[in-house]
Amino acid sequence: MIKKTEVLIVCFTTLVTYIIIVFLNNIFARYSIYLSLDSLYLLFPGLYMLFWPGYLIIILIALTVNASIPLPYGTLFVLYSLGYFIIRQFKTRFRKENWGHVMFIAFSINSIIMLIIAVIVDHGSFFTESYWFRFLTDLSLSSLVLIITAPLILELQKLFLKFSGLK
Amino acid sequence: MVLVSFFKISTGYLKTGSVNLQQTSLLLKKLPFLGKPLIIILFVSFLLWLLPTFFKSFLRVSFFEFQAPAWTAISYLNSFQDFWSLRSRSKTELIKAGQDLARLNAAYELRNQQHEALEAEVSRLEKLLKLPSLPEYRFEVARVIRRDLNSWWHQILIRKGKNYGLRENAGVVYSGGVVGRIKEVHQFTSVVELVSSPTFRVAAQLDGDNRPVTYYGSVNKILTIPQGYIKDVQPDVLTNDLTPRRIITTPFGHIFPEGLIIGHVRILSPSNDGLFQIGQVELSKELLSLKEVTILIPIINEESLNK
Amino acid sequence: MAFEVHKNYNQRILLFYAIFALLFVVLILGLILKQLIQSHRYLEQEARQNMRRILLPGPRGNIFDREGRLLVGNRPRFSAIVYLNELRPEFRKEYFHLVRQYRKTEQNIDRKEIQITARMNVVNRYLQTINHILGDNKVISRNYIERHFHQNLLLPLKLVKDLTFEEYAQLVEKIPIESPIQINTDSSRFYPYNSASAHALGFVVSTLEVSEEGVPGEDLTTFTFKGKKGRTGIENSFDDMLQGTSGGEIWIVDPSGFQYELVEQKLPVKGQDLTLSIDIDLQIEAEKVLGNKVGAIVALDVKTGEVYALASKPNYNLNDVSPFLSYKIDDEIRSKGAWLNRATQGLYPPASAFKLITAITGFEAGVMDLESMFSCPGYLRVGNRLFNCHKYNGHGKIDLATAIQDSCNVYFYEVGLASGIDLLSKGAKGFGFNLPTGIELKTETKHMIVPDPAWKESRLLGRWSAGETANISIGHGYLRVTPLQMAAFMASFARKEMRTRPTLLFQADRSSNSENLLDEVISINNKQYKAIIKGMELAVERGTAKSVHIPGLRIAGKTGTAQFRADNKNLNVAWFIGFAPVENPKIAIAVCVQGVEIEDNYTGGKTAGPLAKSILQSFFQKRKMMPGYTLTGPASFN
Repeated sequence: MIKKTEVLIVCFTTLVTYIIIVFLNNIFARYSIYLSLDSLYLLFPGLYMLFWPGYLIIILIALTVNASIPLPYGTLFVLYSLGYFIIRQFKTRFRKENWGHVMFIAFSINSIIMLIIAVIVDHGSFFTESYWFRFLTDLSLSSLVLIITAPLILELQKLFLKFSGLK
Repeated sequence: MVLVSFFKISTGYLKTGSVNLQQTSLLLKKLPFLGKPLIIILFVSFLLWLLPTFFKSFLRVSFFEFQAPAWTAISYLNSFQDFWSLRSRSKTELIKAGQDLARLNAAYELRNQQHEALEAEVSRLEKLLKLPSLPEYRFEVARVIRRDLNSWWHQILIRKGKNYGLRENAGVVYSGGVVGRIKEVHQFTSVVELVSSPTFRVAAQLDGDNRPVTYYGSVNKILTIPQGYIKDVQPDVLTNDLTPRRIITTPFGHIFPEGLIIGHVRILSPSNDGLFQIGQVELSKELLSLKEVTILIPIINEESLNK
Repeated sequence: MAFEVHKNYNQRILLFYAIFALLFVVLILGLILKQLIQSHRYLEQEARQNMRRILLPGPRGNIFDREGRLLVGNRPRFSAIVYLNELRPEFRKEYFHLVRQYRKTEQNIDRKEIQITARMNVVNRYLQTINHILGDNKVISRNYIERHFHQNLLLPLKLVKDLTFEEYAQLVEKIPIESPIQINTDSSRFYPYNSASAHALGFVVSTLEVSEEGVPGEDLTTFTFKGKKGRTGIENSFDDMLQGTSGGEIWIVDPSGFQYELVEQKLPVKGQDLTLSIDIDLQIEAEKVLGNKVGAIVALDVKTGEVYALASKPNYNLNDVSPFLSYKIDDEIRSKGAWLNRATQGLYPPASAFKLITAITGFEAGVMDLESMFSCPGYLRVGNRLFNCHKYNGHGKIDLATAIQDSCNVYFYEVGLASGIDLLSKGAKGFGFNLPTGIELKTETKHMIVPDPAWKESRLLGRWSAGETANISIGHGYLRVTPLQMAAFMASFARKEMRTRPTLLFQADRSSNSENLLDEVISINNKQYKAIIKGMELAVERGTAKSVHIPGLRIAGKTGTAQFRADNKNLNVAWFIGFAPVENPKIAIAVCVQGVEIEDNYTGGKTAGPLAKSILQSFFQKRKMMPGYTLTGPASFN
């Protein structure tokens, strides 16, 4: 039996993660830095949950995030689904406890999502150097933050679950 | 079918708070592709693509409005936090700030009077010359809730929406000039596309030259000020590095009043065909850390809309 | 349990690492190399029958005056356009929608007709968007759309042409950047000084004859954007130089002829700029002083032959004939006779100004010397005819200087008759009066006349008479010259040379440009030369040209007044020619004002003189402000 509260807690913690990222970006905006940490939302549902409950959370978060950014509505849904699919493929094939593995998968999925967005929303700047320079700096910094935070967020979510009395 | 099964599982689960795993595995036996995540994902994505536009817009607005209270609440919390951080200041500091403000107020009062006198003069001259009166705007000041500034889009979320009569396409300004244009208006919040956004375009002119040019936002590099560029600048327009020329708004577009600063241009270079000039526009650094903005709502427009 | 149990570590994860790393590298490399590959991979493209070429004419170069002020530039011309290629999904949708509707009403389906209607509906929908923004009610005809589909499918369809600044601003701000409607900028010629120097500058006309030089794909079906071709004036004479280099695009098109993929692109390059010798201040002054009079003023640099001003009135506003010349404007200009550049095409008898040639010929022929005096009783009998002097009572016994000063006819009748028509005619031809000056204007007339007996006979006008020689000696009769020739003569005379080839091109380092000037010297001695100049100076000081007198400036000048018949009208012409300062000549000037006899009682001294004075004043006032009287080159436009 799957408990509703478990899903709600994961959902809640994912939304909190989203809000934290938005606020980080509010601060970094003044330095022209943008952190894109989408794979953080996918990690816990992808690695620790069953397919459908996990996917439900992914759909919700994708629709929520997509609502406030000018990407065609549904794009993030498809991208997160893709990321989720990749995680699902490998969740039983590497050690979730191994932070290195978690970091790598978070990094790679995040990079793929960012790269696809960069190709979709280039606004005619595809062949300009400044566009890709900015993209690569954002990607590098996002990856750096992601690599550091991915295991922490996972642990945090696990901690929440633990405090909520679930195993 | 897949969607139905999916909803069956999820709604059942949400209703009862749990789902029988055995039921799920039975369903899987009946519909074996449910065990193939890629197929499911592709199928769901395809379905989403098929959804009519209005449904997608509805979904988007719903999700936006659903999270709006959270952002508003956080913004209020922020203001509250600011308030408390001010409370923690020493009395002497506050008195000094109060004095500064009083001085500023006095100066503004004087300006206000001058402004009123000038306005009266303008309307007198307009009557005398039988000129149509300049477009007038109503102002709304709003706080910035969140900033999304990256290489793909530059937009901010502000804490006022339909509840204050904000309208799409209204100009947004701050003390340093143009901020951008309202892109979406929601019930309590609005999305403003910044002047630095790669999808922002506005007619402009160089200070002291009434021929129009087109301003576009562009991508800014890390740790740099936001940028844009202008096109269609006449070949006889000169700039120099030491005295950059101001790019200002034109009144023709009816979004902004005339003369608001968009940015500065230092170097103009011939365009590809050599016909006109193009130049990079330096925008204000403050655009990246705005806390409050003012929305200009054309009064005439509003009246006609209300009619 | 919502969470699954972890299985053993799987080695396949390594494979994932490898695949991922590889994919990522490929993606990044792909991005970087895309541009490089793109430019080469189509070279071997064989399906050339699927390719179309678009020719883009290069923008024309600018024209500046001698001080670097823009005389002719390009001004943006905005239009709202739509690329039909981008509307294809909508065409299709509309087409199926219409087909369904027709089916419902069970009408016969003419698929071609529906297709055109669908296209029209879609295009009109976009036009409605523009109309809504501009508060306008523009419509596009079915014919226009259909023709565009058949002839110019690859070129953008213009929804609204020639947007005003306000319309442009509104569309730029209110049409989303991703919309298929785009604001296109092309250029039309722009003349900041409106009518100033209209005849010398000339104008351009639209043309589809765009140079294909250097644009690949000569054998492809080509669509051409309209270019511009100089029709008159400098625009015409230096068309090759001003004309930009064409650019082009090669597109692969699909079977319906729509753009599919851009294969090659060459950007057009702007034409070369041109700096004219015109001083726009002086030019404007010349046109201002001419006012509503009919006539021409030419001012040349004595040393170089560079044209400071080349004014002809009536004239026209160049901005009225750009971007295109409407029938209405053409009629207006034609009816007031403004197409004619009177400075280079207007033919007038030189009148008394020709007396200078007669004097030079007299010296050359030896029929007079410095001491020669002739008596003027107010007329001279030649054969049976009396030839009058303009002073009824006569000038009495006078010398050359006084004869020039007072423009005595009898003195020059005597000299002319003594020299004979052959020498007079040879003298005039020596100064190039029978030939175009060679200025860089293709429209300069070739019909100037320096008559002699052979010419008269060839025209079947009978035998030459002595009376005609007398007439020629004072610049009347069959003689016809242009104001530019007279100015060139003055410049040559000021240098004591025979020829000046006026030029409209400015060269900062042209001190005395021998390639433009034939260095043949006037074959009279210095004393004789100075005597003529003295007469001219006296004319300005106290003679017929005293209206030109400027205190402190030594001006040598000669007036002239003649009556002649042209266009079935009795016309008169008032001349002033001269140069200044006498001690070191800088500027040579010719003023010619044409009037209708009786109505306009024009005379050289009264009519042309004051105009010349204004020009000279303006010229020297400006030069005095310039230290050392050095002419500056074009201002830097960096």
